[in-house]
Amino acid sequence: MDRLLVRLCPNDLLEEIQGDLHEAFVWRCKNLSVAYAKRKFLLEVLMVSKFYKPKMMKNSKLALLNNYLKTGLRFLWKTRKYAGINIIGLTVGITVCWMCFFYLYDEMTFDRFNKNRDRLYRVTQEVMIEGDLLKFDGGSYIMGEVFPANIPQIDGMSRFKSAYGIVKMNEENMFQYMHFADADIFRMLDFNILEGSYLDFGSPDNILISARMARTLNVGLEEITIHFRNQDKRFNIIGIYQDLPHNSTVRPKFILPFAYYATRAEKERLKNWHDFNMNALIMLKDAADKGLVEAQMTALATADAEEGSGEKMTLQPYSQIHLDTTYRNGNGLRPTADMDILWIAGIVGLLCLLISAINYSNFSLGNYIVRSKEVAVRKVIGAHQQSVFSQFICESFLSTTIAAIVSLLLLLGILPFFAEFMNKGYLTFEDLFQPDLIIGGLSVLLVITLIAGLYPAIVLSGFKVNDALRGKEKIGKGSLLSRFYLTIQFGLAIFLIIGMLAATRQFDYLIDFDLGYEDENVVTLGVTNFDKERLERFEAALSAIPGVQRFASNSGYNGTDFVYQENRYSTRHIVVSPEFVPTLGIEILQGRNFDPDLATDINNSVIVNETLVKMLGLPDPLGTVLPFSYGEFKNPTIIGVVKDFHFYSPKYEKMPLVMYQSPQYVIQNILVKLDASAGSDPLYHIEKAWREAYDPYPFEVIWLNDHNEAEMAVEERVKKIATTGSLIAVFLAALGLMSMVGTHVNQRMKEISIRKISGASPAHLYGQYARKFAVWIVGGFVLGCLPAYYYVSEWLDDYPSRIELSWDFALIALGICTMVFVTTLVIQLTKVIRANPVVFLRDE
Amino acid sequence: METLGSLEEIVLMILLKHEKCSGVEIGRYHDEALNKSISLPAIHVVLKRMEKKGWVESEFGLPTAERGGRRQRIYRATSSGRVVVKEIHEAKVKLWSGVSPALEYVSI
Repeated sequence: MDRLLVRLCPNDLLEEIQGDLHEAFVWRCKNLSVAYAKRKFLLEVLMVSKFYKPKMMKNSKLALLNNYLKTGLRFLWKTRKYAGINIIGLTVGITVCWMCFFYLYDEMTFDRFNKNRDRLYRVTQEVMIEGDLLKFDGGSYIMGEVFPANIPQIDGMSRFKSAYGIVKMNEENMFQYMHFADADIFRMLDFNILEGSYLDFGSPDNILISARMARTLNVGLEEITIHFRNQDKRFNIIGIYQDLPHNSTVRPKFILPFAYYATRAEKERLKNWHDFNMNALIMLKDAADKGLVEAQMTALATADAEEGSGEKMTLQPYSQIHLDTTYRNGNGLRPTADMDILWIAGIVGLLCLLISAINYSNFSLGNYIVRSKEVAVRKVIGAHQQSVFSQFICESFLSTTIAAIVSLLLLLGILPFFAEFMNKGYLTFEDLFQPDLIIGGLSVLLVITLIAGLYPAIVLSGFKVNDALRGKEKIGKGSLLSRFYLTIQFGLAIFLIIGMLAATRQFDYLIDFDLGYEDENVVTLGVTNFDKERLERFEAALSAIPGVQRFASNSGYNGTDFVYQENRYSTRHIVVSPEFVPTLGIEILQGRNFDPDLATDINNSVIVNETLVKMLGLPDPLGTVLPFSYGEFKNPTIIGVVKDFHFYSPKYEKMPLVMYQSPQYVIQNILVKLDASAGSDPLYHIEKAWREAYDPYPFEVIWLNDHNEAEMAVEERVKKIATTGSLIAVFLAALGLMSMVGTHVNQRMKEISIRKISGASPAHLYGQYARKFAVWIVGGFVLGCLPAYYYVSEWLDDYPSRIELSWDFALIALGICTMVFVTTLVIQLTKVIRANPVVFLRDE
Repeated sequence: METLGSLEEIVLMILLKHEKCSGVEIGRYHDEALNKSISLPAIHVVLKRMEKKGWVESEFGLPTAERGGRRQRIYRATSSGRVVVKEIHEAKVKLWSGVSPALEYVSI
């Protein structure tokens, strides 16, 4: 402590203060307590730092640094307009880079918090089908019974399956996402049990819930009723666990035991190895051999299968689930990110960083021409090339730091929007302050400082003193390089603008797409209870509601295949009520709709779509017997053909469709067409009718057109990213151009002045410069256009219904860039051209 | 009239009362009088400031064993220091004369 005191305290005061402190220490020890005296002593030594003055720096290097910073700040202040724009450019670059980095970091650290992450796997399968290697995820119930009992290297195993249940919440019935699991899961993942325990989890009546869910429901360790699979069931909550962090793939709110699942599922399913309707998670022992376990699993699973099924059990590391889009079955474990987007984020971040750093260095060069004299004077006084070099690195560090602080403030403002934008609403500003991120952020700063400062520093420190003092030195050597940068920047801007235009057009096109049916004023009600009597009651109530035009019900769209004239065809099929076609306003091309009064229509008739007719090549489809069968429903007759409608989103190909009525009707949706003039008034009555017929199922209504728009979420996101990206790119390109023209013009003040004196008109001067830079802009245009058209058409190829790529995209992009180009040029040149030529010609 | 910071005023008053004091002693008197502890560097800062203004003067005292053989610096108020405190005191007394009834009223 004393040594610190000596460091902190100025020499002239040291004797007195040190003495006083020691005396006080002894006195306090005597009269109060030793601990108090020590504490107080420590505090007081630290307070002596009041006397500490930075001017005491004896180190000459530090003094020089101080001088550099001061000159740097003064220069920034003197050229504050330029410096401001320059720093804004840097800020944008740093902000974008940080956001990308942040995003990447969050994605890469997904699921990494688990203690056992290196030992956790999910069971996946590989199977050869007709020469293709098919990989898919999913486990079956029996795996959880057989694997852990027979493979000694498995330390723990839990099946995992998602389900829906209805829970009463604030007097309101709500659908809740729930998960089945085995008791081992609490050991495998980092569950922190706050109340109770999971010891009795094996019983079919015992469940655990998350702390947040317990708060929402306002329950403790007590009984709870969950309406599940069409019946009420009372469960005991035996434990409450802390919610797993947001960057976890597994985040259950309710954990139900598979013992309960087993009581409800059909007995054959529990013994079927191929009933892949859940996930199987495995924790291996520390030194386990993954390959061996896979082989043992395969042997167990294929023991009763016929020879040569080629089926193989594999293990996918748990931490890869988040990013690996090969496996998409879901059931509670779903990849939520995409490697492609990660790459894009990384590249965009890096590009933005590079561009803004290059802009900065161009800008600095333009300004520093003014400072060549200062450098020369420094050199005359005795500065080495090295010290001038470090001066400019210092200055770029200064600017970068300012930009970093501004961008930190900026981040504070836009982070919520960014998080929303990236579907990561849970990210907060505090998440930025993790050790890894801080180190990453600081290294970004250092890299920018170097990239941005290196080039100006080299050029300026390499000055010849004589030439600089006489004002002769010109920085022209790097101009080819910087023009090349400019070209690339404009290319990038053009590329992104074209991308933005295409994404916007395609998006609007899909939104306004003629789906082949009317989705306006239609609401859908999801039904999970198949009780006929309830449906009839509800339908009776519906028909009495004013404002309801018509209503229909349908099953989900399923797929099957059938043989027609010795060829196998696959088709989609759907069970509908007779009102389905008119409710959706689907156009009937031939034949008729179902007649509710005709018995043959119910058991033996189908309506098909155009695509199916075309696929089978039916010359006269009406009356044809279709060799289609599904369950009891066999060989129906075609009674009608409808125009194709996009029952999936227009993002997919048109598909053949068979519509039929069926006695065994598994209803999934009720569609209600409302009067356009009624607005949403009838909804109130519909809700009332629903509550009477379908208690306790919650009333959830979706407008069909909203649903169709939500299907476009991906396109919407691409559109947003492209728009933001192109804005930033145009801004950065404008900055780049500005700095280029600035450098150029600053060095040619005399030339311009002489031209003016000899009678050049402003228009002539503008023209001269426009020509000079236009070449590079055109180069950039070509550079941006070609890849843009290539990638955009590649992207559009994924859509069966798409816009035509036309040349007006390029024209608009060129227009925007030209406008930016001209504005920048005029702004930069005007002040030179307006200036009095005498000012620049006087100094020699 | 000069203005005084409250710690400055207290330190000056202590110096007037006890004539010659070192920093530690001032600190101790302060603690006793106000019944709360203060850190020594705070007092040092105030003393240095007042010394610059000429309100206190100082000289080196004798080294003692407690101080590890370091010399004490003994402070004393100068005449201008006395004047400043006195002026402040008078001004405050004048102010207080109007306040006392109100204070009594409040204390009920």
